[in-house]
Amino acid sequence: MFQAIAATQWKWTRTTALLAAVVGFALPIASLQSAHETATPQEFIARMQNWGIGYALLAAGSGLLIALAAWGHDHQGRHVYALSLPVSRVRYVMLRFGAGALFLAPITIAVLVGSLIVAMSGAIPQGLHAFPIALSVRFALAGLVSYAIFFAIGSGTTRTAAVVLGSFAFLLFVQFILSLVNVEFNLLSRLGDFVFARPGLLSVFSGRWMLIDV
Amino acid sequence: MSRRIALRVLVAIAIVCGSGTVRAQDIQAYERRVDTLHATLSHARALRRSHDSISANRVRALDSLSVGPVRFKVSPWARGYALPAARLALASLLPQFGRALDTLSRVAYVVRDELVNDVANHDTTFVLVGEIAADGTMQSSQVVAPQVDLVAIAIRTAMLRSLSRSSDATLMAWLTAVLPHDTADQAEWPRARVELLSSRAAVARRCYVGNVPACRLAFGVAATADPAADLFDSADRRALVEGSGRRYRGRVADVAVESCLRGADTACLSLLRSAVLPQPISNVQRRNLVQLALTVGGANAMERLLMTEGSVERRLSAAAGIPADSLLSIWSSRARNTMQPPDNMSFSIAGAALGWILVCGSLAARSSRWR
Repeated sequence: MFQAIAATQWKWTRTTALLAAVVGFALPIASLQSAHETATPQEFIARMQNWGIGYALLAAGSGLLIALAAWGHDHQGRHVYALSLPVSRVRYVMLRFGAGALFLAPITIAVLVGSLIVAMSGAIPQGLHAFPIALSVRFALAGLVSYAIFFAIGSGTTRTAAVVLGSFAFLLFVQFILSLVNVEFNLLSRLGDFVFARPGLLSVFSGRWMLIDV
Repeated sequence: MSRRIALRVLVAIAIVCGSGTVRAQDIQAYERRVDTLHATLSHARALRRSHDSISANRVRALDSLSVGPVRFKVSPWARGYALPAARLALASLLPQFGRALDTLSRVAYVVRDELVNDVANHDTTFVLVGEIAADGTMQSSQVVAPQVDLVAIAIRTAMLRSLSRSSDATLMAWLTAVLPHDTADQAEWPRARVELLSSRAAVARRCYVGNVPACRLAFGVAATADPAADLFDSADRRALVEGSGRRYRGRVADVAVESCLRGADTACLSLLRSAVLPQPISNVQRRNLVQLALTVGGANAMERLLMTEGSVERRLSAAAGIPADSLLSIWSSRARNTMQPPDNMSFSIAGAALGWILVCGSLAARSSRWR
């Protein structure tokens, strides 16, 4: 059953996964290429750090697109296919979830291979160290978090999506009202801290993404 | 023809008269501006005198308090914070500074309440900690929240500042920072490594590989009569001139700059001997070296640093209890070998991520099959 679902899901996802894998492989190498011409280790680290946001964006984007692809055909078929299968909803969702999560693996492997090539290139200045495995593990986790969030949103009904979007709109509205009545309380900033500070929902994305560091 | 000449003459007269008027206006405006600035300065001085006088009167009205060799002037409200905080501050300095703390008997500190209008426009009472100067006025004060540990830190900072001021001038000119009271943080070593390797001076890069004479020059422990020749190699010198080329233009002959950039090291040397040169390593690392001396030297290391007579090298050696060369060798080795765990991954990052993946997966599993 899992094999059949994974095979069909792969057809919907492969373009995204392969393109993301190419980008994932190129990111470490491009960052090294850009940092290679710097004069000092300090500048080298700074240049590598500039590329760090690329890993976070790639992980978030890959998770989003693979999650959307996982549910896309079910939405188009108005979820009749799921009803026609002799499996429970929980099992069906887990099969879809597992298959989608599996397709993040090629992207993570591409990031790991690119990072290992950088680590073994001999182009890293003396005194600095490469952390290819730590970066790849973090990339995998960030990709999975992004995938899980959008998968959960995608699995819901239109009403669920409306509730999620409505909650955001409500928060913006509350912040607007607070500022109108001169209450010095930054709700959005607090919410941002809650989400991005550890152990927040998106904390895996925040902080430095360093392939090469001291 | 005559009309054109007449026109030119008129234009010339207009330009001359016009510029004269503009200049006259400029001078009057400048005079008015100078008068205004002078009046503002006089007013500011009067306010400053008045403020100093009020501060001195307030200090005279405070209670006296002694903790060890240190004298305090405290307000009745702040007494509850001042006494335990002063004891804490002294207890934290005593193991390292020992008898050197006796010099603090020459100064006095004030600890009093200070009304602060905070961000939310509320008046809140904070604690002000400052040093009382010889003329009774207050200098280098710090305002902190009314908590004993924060007041203790403010008192310790004020004490370290006083100790720095009363310490040997050569030592303080070398250190160019307030005396440290603790050992170096582990995260400082990787930073020191990058700084050594990124330095524009060859001696710093040689210090990284453990060359102790180079470390002595990089830290300024050994004096040099010709820094341009001793601290930098020819490639460094050329890079320095290339980097500051624009500054040299107009001040020295372009020929010398061009000649240096073409590879004539003597030209680079002559240019750099009259220039302000960058330090091989930052002052942060000098402080780091003193902190290492504290680590190696153990108890009373700061006392030995401050109370030993002689050069910076002798003082460092006395503080650490080993020759200065050995201390520099340890410093270089730590800078080279201390690793910092990567920021990328930790158990807390992994734990949080896996937790949220499970939560989102569970939410998806609870979704309805009916649309």
